[in-house]
Amino acid sequence: MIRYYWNILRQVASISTSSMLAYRSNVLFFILFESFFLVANMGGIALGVNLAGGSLGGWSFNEVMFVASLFGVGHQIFTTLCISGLFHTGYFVWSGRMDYVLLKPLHPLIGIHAANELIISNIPNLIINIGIFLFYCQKIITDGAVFTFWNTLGLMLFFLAGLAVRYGLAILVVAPAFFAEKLAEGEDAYWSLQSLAKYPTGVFPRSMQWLFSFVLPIASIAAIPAEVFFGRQNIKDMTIHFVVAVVFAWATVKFYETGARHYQSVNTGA
Amino acid sequence: MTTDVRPKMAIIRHQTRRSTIMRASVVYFGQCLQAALMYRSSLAIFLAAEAFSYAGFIAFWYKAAQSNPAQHVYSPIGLVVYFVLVSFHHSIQHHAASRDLGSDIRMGKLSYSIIRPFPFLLQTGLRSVAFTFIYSMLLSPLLVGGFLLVPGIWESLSSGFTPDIYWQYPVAITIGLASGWLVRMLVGMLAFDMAQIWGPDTFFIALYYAGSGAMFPIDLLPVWALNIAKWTPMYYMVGFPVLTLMGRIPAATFGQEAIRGVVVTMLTFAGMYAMWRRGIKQFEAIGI
Repeated sequence: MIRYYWNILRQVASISTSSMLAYRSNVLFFILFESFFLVANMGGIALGVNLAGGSLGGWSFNEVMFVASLFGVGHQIFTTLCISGLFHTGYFVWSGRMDYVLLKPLHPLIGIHAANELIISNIPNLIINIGIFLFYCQKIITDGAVFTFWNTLGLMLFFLAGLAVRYGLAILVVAPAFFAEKLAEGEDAYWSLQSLAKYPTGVFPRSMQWLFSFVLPIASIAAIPAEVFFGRQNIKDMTIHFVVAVVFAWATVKFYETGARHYQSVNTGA
Repeated sequence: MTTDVRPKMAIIRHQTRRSTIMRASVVYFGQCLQAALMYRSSLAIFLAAEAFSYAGFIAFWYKAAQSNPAQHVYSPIGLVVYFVLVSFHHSIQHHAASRDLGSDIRMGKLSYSIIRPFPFLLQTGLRSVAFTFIYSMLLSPLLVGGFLLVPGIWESLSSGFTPDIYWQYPVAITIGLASGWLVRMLVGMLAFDMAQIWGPDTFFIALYYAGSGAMFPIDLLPVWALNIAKWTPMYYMVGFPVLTLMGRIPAATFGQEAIRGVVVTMLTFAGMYAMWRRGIKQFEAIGI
């Protein structure tokens, strides 16, 4: 079974590499796009923290930037591995191509990824973002933070939970394509929603903190992993956040499956 | 005896051309409205996500301004006003002129569009204009509702109004919309030379976010960075009209900025038109 999925992954990687070589300019434009987007994103946050006088909601400048850079790494991993498959869902449903995905002996989500590509041309951006993250790791170490085994493990575990939330968030905005006449804006909706995840939770009012922690757990993407790392979460809260993240991701997968069952080929109104 | 009918034919051609363009405008307007209303779920999801996103922006910047009472650059409520206005201006600049134009060129649609009786570029332009006006119509009630329902923001905005605002804002928004339409068309023109324009289009979006003021108050940038932004169309797409409406551009410098905006817009048009002239000579329909 593992060998079977490994072969699928190899095929997707092979197709993706061919695409990347065919569209070589994408590598250049991905780097340009992400570099300027990074400047806009992190520059905007830096301007805000400076306006606030160097710290915000109990977070120092470097801690805020640590959260933003952690967000950036997750963003690049998700972009490289997931966007092509997930964000083609709307088009596949609308055009009837979902027929071929559902005919394969795979879960519909694995099928849609197998029918699309990995964005290999984004790997340089992933490396750049990891570099920025390491830079702010160094900064917070200089400020007195210590990387112990347990807080690093916590950071990694909650970072993975954050990736699952990202994935769930994307499903949440693309899966309505199964029920709609045509859904073209799902991807834009995802980018808008996930952009909230780059801030520490403390910058939001209480009601939004609750909303982003327990209903639409965007805080789990970067802020909660950082809070776990800095020891600002007790065991009870950590457990609740972890459970909420996992349940959210699981529920969205179920939502996608429900949508796939609802799918009626080209008769969905296309 | 023969009569020279050429002058009369010229008048008929002129009238036909004018009525065709008028009809096309109405058709594009209708199509765009129909698409927006037909794909209601798409529009609703997009608007809901945008609303969440701006709520987050506003919370962050409000907290930032509130945390430091010593700063006198922006009041917390002033930042709320800024992002409420940005959300509207950003949304009406969200048209897909570059993607549509790139697709028309790349997929060969241009080949049968150019045989129609009015300029192809006008079709693309009209589609973008229609989008902007439809979205203005759909979003204006939300904007008005925001100003009526959120306490203090109308007072904050109107306190910056001067008598000059009534001509300055129309000038600023006209420059902003024109530069937005033209720069996206310029990006779309790259399809004459590239297998796909997805890359340049996303690069443009990144430049837009960095230089338009859609992600942060643009006048908080260091002076050198702001001066660079002012020589790009991005600044005029969102930042310039919003700052004008908020009265954050001094009357003494407004004229200078507006002239610079016109120059930038004209340069964008010249670049776009030059690429069009060059591209259309090389265009081989689906053979490219």
